[in-house]
Amino acid sequence: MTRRSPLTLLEGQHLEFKCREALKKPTKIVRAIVGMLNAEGGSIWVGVEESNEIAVALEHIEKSVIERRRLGDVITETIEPSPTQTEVKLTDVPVEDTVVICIDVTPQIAHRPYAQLSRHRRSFVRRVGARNRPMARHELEEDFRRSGDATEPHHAERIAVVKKIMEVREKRRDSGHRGLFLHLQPHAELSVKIHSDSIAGLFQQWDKTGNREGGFNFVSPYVHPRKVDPRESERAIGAGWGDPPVATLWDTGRLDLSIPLDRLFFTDTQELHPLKIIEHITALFRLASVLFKHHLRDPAPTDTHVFGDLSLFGVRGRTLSSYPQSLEWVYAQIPPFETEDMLLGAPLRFGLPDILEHPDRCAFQLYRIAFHRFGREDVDIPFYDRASETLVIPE
Amino acid sequence: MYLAAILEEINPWWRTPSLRPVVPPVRRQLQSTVFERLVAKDNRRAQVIFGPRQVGKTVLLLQLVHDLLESGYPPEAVIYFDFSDDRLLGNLSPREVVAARPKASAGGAQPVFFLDEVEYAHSWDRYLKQAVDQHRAKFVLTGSSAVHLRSRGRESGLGRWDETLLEPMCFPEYLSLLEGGNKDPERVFAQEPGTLERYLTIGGFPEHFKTGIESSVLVGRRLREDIAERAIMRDLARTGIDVTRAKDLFVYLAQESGSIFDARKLADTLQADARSIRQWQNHLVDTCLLRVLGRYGKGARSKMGGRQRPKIYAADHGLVNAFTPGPSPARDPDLRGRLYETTVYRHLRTLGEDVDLSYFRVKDDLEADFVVQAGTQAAVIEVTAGRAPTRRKIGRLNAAGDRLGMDLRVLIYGGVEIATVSGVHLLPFHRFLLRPQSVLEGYVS
Repeated sequence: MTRRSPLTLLEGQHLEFKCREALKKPTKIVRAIVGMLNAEGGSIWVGVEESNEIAVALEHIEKSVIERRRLGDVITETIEPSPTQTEVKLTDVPVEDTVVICIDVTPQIAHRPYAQLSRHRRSFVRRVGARNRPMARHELEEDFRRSGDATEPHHAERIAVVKKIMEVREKRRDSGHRGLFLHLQPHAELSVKIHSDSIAGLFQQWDKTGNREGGFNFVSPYVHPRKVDPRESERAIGAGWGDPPVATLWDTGRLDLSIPLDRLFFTDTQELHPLKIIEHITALFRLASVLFKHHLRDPAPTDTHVFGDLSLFGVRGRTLSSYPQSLEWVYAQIPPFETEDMLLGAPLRFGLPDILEHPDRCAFQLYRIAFHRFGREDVDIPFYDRASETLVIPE
Repeated sequence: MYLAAILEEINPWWRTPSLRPVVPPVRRQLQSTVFERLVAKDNRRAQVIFGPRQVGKTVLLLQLVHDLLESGYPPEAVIYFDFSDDRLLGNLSPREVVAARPKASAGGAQPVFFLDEVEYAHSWDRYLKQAVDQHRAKFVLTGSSAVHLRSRGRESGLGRWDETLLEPMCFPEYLSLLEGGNKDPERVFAQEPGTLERYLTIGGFPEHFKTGIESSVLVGRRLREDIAERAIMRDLARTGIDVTRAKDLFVYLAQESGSIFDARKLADTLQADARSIRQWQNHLVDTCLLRVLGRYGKGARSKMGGRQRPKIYAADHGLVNAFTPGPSPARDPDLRGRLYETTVYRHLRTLGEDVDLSYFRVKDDLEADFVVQAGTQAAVIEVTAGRAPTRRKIGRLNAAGDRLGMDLRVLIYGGVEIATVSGVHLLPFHRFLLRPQSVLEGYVS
């Protein structure tokens, strides 16, 4: 689709310009997006210089694909609820020998109010004219009330499933589990049809899910996965090894990953090993991708969403080490984690097509949050190749 | 005077009895044996622990110090000294270290000296001989240059000290290390995926597990530096041999781990004299980097023949990986096969000194990788990395068993099922590693 040049246009209720420099500090762009999501939507051009709210010059964005993806990650992570591609769509736009980024914002009434997340708080802003202002209490109340009886398709199921996910999380915490818990849950029940031999294959052969032989994942050729007793867990159809099992899958499309805390440490230390966190999470998304691609009784509707909830229980006082780049590596000093558990504000929502085609990217969006919560930055995340959007661990 | 100051500094428990050396909690399997010998009242012999570089000798020594102090032994009678300390001037003798120790009262307890890197000490063997004969003290020594240690100690050590080889970690030790020694290795294996593949890729040198690095490339580079540059080029230089050619021989033998050593053929390949090849091979074996497996024979004549055509294995499968260029074991079936065989031999050596190990081969057509004999028990063993053993493999193992007159035939393989096929026990590789003695039992419960 060709886009008209924004030059000479005036900023307003539905239009905003951001210079190229803003990409270095994307929180301002996110604020503009949230403002539009809580209003009537619109477009934000990044790479456009303005003067007195009028677009006066275009600034070419080098490596726009990478910048766009990076911005997309920030948007997913710092807006609640996490917007889908229909709600926030990023496009590279060639205009007059330059490439700029255009962000089209289309709010879903039922998702309002949208919040911008920072480390310690949520900000609710609404766009009014060419400005963003904090939302008033009555506006928030109205939006929250409206979201309760929204008419968006699947809305009720989504609310119910998020509630259920939170219950599962609480139950797991109350059970005394210390360690990583990842829970993937489609917004509506899917119908998984898989032969027990195929389940065994997924849990016993690395190549079935594209996971690394000998990597930090749930695959083991040495142990038969077990069938789950219905009395033990309703509708669970298979579980990998370990007690409790490392991975469990349900005929509804639910998948769980559970890794005890001491298995996430570097040998001889109490520090969390970054690769163990990254690879375990990616492994479950890869399993989900295979399961949803090949083992559903009926193809799932394309507007299916899968919620992902990541928790790290019992991590107070732990640090997440950076990955050693050489054998002479020493631990980087960062302050230990201050609270007992690392929990998401709300589960992240992934479109089914994303999980099918880009499981590693979905995993990245989740573990990236964990890294940031532990005081790490993107440069500390090893082996995720942003160009191919896959986790690539060298031999 | 400076020696006394160093001793004071590295033995802080003399001044503050509650202090202990900082050591990892996990103990090697060998540790309990050495400790029991050390505290046995009727055992006056010294303990000499040798092994390749980076295998964990210093850690083991400090753990012994720690455990002896914990047992209530008087701290002033526990003396640790490191002969590789950079502050030392010239080569000291153990005699000087013993003399420099403060004459504190130890309540009549016999002093116990833990002497690290003793190959840097002057005339340690002569002093130790006298000291053991006169019951002056107890001694535990370590050294990384086994060539030097053994050549000095062979004559005088007889009856005066026990030599103990510390090898790279076996699989159960590796699993214990992962869990801080808190759990049974089999339980760790059952709880943590990927451990066997990582062990196969990285090897059994403990130093490299602590880094948490997943790259076999990096670990391989470090091993090559340690082994090729230090253990061979530096330590063997003292012997006066051509170390560059000896290193070439080592690389060849590590890559071909498990092949029959034929000095004449190797002489052609490496363009050297066969006698030199044999000499280099002997020195390399003395570094503990290579292990020899003799050919099976019943009579003395046969045994002589076995010694002439032994198989040579890398001491640790990590060395095979490090010195073999090309893809990882996951993608190279040949390399995987050599790793399996080398690892099996490493674990068969854990069965004890009373167990006789050999390989079987007749007329170049019938062979078995290992023959294990322990008293009246005997087993013939074949190893394959394949997940499903072929009929041919089973048939040939049975033929070897028939020829040897051994009923217990074990095929260690890459599959997961324990089974018996045509009288051959199929034993999964991981099961064997977790419990090597199972080869003599014929089944695994």
